[in-house]
Amino acid sequence: MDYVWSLPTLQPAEPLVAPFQFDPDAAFELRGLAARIPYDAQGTQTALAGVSLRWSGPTQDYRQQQRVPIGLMTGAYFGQYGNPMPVFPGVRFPANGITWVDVVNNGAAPLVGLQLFMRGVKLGYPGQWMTYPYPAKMRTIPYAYPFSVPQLGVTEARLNQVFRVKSNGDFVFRAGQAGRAFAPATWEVFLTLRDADSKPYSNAPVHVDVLFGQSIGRAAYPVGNAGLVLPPTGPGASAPGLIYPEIYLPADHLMLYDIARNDAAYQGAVADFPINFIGSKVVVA
Amino acid sequence: MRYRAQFPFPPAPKGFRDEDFFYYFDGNNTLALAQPIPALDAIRNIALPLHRDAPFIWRGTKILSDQPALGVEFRTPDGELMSDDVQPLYQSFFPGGFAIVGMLPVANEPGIECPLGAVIQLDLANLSAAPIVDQHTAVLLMGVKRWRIQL
Repeated sequence: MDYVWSLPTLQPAEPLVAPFQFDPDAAFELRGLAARIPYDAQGTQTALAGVSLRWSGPTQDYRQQQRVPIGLMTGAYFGQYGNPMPVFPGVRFPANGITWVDVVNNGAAPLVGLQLFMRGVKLGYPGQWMTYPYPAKMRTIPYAYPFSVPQLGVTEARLNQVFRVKSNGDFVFRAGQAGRAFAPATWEVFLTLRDADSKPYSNAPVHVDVLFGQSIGRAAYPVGNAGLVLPPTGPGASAPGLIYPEIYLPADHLMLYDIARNDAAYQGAVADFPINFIGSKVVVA
Repeated sequence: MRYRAQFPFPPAPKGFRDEDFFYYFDGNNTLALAQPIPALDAIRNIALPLHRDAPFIWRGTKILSDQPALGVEFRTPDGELMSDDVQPLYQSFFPGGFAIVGMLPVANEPGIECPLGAVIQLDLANLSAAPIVDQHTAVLLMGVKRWRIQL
């Protein structure tokens, strides 16, 4: 489960202290953090380096004594590219629980579109949503479902798109990759994954570079305070965005997803958008 | 880092020992890996033959290419496809940051047992509307050879 927290525009040097309330249907265990802002015209998120923040547990118990530069807190690429900063041990929030953030923009210009991503698991009761076990006797093989969202417009949203597991085996969804590596480029593309009952795995659309990433992206990230900008180093196919716990999809079962693209601010064009669901095929032995 | 496996690989079964082994294929020993690919076309069933001296447990893969529009699809020695379609190389077997941290392999979980003299098949596809005229693809299959312990 990913909780997306979209913060209002942060004026320079003006602190913001704000609460975020989790869903009422189940408790949530926070296991990872990430942050992002929309790409600038150069394909970087340079302004993100000026953000400092601290966040709290369920009783407004801050886990840092003062605001920490977000690049130091979350590590490389601000926890994006499917590699969030681990929160270990996990922090449990009850249903309807609240976390607080104390954030400031140390940059010179207003910061628009800051999003925090709280990644973890919902802790439901047995039967609250469908789960499937492995067969008693089975074998597995590494398997991937690459697919493409055809002709995705520069500003377009498609809801309730269907991903169907083939009938020749179950599929364990363990990781993902997404994004274009060749022209025309895409920038702001968001996914909401849902189970077959349309229950979402996030409270809002998640940017594909936060959810999954890929080996060669359009992105570059600021490092430290020296204005150095580097492409993602290390994530991608060998360290993809992990789905943990894994999602077990029996043969012929569905997964739904919403995809939205908002590239009006970039020189974009209609493009097929590739997504790769990675995991294992499970066959009854 | 040799493999980024989610679960540890099991030790060799009793009576056998495992020995690290790599199979490397490029345009010098597999001509199809250096052939042009027309737009939206593919080269199918490229044979990657393995040795006949010991079974190979295929545990990791690296594919090096400078063609961002390249797609790949593997078939195991028993003919089973390892993906539902051609996977974009940059979302499947080409790790990020190779110039700085080297190429990290993509793990097979579990490892795939390849018998003596097995052939792994590879499809290469051009996913773009422009032809790939200068293809130089290199494939590294990483794993272990499983030797029977001689008494």
